[in-house]
Amino acid sequence: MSQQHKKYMDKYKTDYGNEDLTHYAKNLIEKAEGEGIAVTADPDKLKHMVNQDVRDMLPPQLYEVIGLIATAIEKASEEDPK
Amino acid sequence: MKISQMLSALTSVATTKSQKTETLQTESHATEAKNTSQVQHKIDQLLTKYSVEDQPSARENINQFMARAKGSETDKLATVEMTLSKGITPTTSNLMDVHAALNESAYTSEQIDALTVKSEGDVISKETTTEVKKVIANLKLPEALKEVLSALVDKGYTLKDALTAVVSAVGGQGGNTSQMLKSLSQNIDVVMSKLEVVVNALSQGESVKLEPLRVQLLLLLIENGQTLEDAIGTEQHEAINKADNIIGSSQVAGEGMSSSKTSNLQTADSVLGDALDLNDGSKEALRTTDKEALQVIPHSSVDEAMPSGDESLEEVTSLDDTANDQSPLSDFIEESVTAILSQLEAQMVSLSETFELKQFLVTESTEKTIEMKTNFTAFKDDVASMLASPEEKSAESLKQTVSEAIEAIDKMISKQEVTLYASMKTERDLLVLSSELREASNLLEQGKTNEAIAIVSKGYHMVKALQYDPDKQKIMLFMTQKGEEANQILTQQGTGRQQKIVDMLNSLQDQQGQHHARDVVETLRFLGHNHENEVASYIENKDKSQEQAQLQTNIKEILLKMMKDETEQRTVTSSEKSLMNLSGQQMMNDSQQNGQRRLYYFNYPIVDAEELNEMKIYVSGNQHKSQMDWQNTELYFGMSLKKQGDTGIKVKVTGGQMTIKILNDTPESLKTLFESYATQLEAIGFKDVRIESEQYQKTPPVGVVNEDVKGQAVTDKTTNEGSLDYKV
Repeated sequence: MSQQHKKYMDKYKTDYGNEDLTHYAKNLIEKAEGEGIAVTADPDKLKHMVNQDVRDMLPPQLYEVIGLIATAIEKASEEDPK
Repeated sequence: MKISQMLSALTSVATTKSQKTETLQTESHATEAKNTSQVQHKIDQLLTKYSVEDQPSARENINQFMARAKGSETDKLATVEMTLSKGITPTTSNLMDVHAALNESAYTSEQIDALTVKSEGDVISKETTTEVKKVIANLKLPEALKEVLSALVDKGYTLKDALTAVVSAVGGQGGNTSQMLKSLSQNIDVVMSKLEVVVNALSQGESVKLEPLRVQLLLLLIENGQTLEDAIGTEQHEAINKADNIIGSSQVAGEGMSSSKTSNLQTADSVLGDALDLNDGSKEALRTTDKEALQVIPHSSVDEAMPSGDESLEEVTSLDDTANDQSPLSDFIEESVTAILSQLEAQMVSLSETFELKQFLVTESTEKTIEMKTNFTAFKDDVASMLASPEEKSAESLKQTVSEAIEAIDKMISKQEVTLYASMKTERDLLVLSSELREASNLLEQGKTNEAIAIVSKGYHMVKALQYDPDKQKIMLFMTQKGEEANQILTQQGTGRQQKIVDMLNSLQDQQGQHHARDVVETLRFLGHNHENEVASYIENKDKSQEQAQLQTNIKEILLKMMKDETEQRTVTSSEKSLMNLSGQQMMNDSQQNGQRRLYYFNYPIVDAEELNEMKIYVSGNQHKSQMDWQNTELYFGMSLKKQGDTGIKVKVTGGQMTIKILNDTPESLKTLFESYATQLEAIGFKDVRIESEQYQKTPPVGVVNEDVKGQAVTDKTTNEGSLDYKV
């Protein structure tokens, strides 16, 4: 999540309290529409989606493990004669 | 691998078999009533447990969800529990999305089909065209070329074919001097239809623009397989220039025709008559059409379109009245063709001199390489300064700088463009450095400052020794693929549609076929897991140049647009299912979870026996700083493989020590394979990697909740408090 993004979200949390990002989500839907970018149009969904950046979600060590497991499974499916 | 199965043991919802006798039916009704009552009781417990019992809408939404959703009540209750435990607003729609994510396959054939914009025959649909044109708009190409590419796409070309055609037309060398004009002659009806656009524009009072015609003529050229050099030979070239000179600056758009120009045009007509090599029939057809067209052009419109004074109007009126073999519109059209060809020639010659696709890529990739190297050097300097002279820092200060260094390195691996082009070795070195520093951080926590200083010093030298050797091929591949990936998803190529995502997965791996951390991140981004987050960053960020292409080339964006169309058409297709599935995953990964314990869930695509399959991945662990603690975490991978059958991979990391347990009916081959990766895992910081295996059992995971005493509350422990419980 960019610093700018975080700053905006923090501001909205302060403004609207309860950490409910519904207002933020509604605002984002309008802005995205203005930019011609498609986003989830339901604020009740969108507010949960803007809150996570997959690039920060897990540390690279765990992404590496996921990549390795996927690799191993793919290799097994290539090699296993069954 | 349904999450509902995990709850089946603890909810013990009795099943009622169909009964033939009335007595049994009565018993059945009684049982159903009892079950309904049990379900309501469980919902009550969940509402209380997650402190939403005072929200009447929550109960109402949950009941609606229970009535509408497919699957067993156990499945549905598990969805409700997951939704509430993750702090997701329990709207019916949200519950449906989470339910889809947990219980349905994200990438069925039907869903992949839905990702392909339907086309009729060989004509690419309007939606496809729009998407591909957006991709073109984002390509770093000369504007004129982008215009031609867009026009080709409008005509049904794929992006690749359009590029090929243009490059062929620009770069080709030919000696045949008359083919292009002959081609125009042969296609005179097509030319006429294009020119009618001009006539119509005139009749509507619009000024005539050369651009559309110029592009259309180039398209004709390309469609007939001609190159520019083939098309415009020396003779015609001279004739056209001569005609062009005669016409002079008489631009079609917005200029009137003086009487002297009328005279010139007659000469031009004669010259062009030869140059165009039109046969008599075509010429006649052209002129007949002109006359007909002229009759429908109101003078006032002509006046508006050619607003250069009364003289011009009189001239045109006079010419109109005396339309004959030297029809002014015929002259006008031929004048247009000449001017267009002239401009086209100039433009294409210029392009051929300045642009070649390969040259463009090499130039761009060289620039990119320099940019990336500069960025990497800056990163190295920053991290090196953080880690320099650790012995001079206090333990507290060192703790802080080590933490900052880890954050910077992790961000470099997962987020920065630099690493996207980095060699496998660079990415691996960064990963090792991050893990080493984590070890130093642990030692500092334990008060072992001297040992920590030794590791930080080692880390400092590792940073200094880091080499960034961007893979030029990777850069070029990435730059061309950005557009092509979207194109492949969007256009129907005749091959298996799942193949498109399989191809994408195959591109996100190293030469040995291994997916690394950044590949996993990019796969998730490509699927659209990060779409809304990145849209938010993009909109709030003043510099919008970097992310737009990515925003417009992920599957979520495509699905959203398709859904909009489908909603307008009042149809529900599998694209909605895909969208629900993805949205459910995204919502479940909301970072605003209560407590220290985190649970993330996503469906991850894999290539299984050359076809697309998926793993359902659960990751659970405590927070460490801003991220999950990778040294104390649990992962579960659930999948149903084509050859190996139902398979579970359970990974448990405690204090950095890793155990991988393979759950499969015949786990030996998988076990052997995983053992070959143990060293690799240890190299990136995991310790004492052990591989175990056992029979797969049909009572699979998975613990959003811990199994509890049967018949009791749905859950007594939550992910916020406990670990994943993989009861097998």
